[in-house]
Amino acid sequence: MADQANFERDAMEFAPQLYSAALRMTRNPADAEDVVQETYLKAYRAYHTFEEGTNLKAWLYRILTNTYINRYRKKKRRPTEVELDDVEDLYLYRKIGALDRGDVSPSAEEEVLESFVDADIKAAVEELPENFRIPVLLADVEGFSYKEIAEIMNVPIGTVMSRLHRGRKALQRALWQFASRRGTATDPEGGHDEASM
Amino acid sequence: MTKRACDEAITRLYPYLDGEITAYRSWRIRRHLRRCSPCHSAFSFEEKLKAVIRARTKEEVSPEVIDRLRTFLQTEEPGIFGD
Repeated sequence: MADQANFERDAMEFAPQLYSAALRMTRNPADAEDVVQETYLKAYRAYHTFEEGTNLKAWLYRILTNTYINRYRKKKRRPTEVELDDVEDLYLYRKIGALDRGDVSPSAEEEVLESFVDADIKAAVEELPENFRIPVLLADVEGFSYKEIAEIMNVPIGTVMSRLHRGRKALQRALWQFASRRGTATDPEGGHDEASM
Repeated sequence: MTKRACDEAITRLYPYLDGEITAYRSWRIRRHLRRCSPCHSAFSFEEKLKAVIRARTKEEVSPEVIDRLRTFLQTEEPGIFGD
């Protein structure tokens, strides 16, 4: 069992990462700070229950996720289990391919990826319903394994995989919508196709 | 390439990119990608997209945020950072 005396040395280094994740969860800097502060306080008080040698980062993210979910549920009273429309596999890739009328050329692909504005990518993640946003965030932004995400969210690995799969496809659709709105990618289905000229 | 082989590869796209499949399955996918240029191109796009998302959603945290966290913890738990 871990010693509270080592808490600062062992746990504080994760604070910037936790704050970054909290920001994507809460979508608001003030709420993110509150959630991280509460997370660290809970973690310190429960540190004697942390089994030394196991994954401290995942343990802290678990507390962070629970803290966020509890606060969010209290505050917004919104259902947390929201369903997503089914989006086809390779959504974004196919959209870019449709611009090119064929295989995606590496240049068209690079161009669209480069054209994404950081704010749009963040907004696309933040737009996902909570039960999809958290696994996408934990896997794609934080780099956790499926097993770690299952432990952090306290759901089976199969659930992690299916939410991740569907969340990522929804994320691709949102990215495409942002890119289309900015005019960096024009949807041929919209009837106005600059890319084919 | 047969549609079945492509479907099989696409079904395992994310577990493959996430490093969450067995060595054997991963080898089968790599073999398919060497032979199938549409799948190769799609996989490579998804891999790049994953890297772009990861690189561009990280947030720089100002030292003030960390200072406020430390001050908060110190107030709640005076012994937290030693004497």
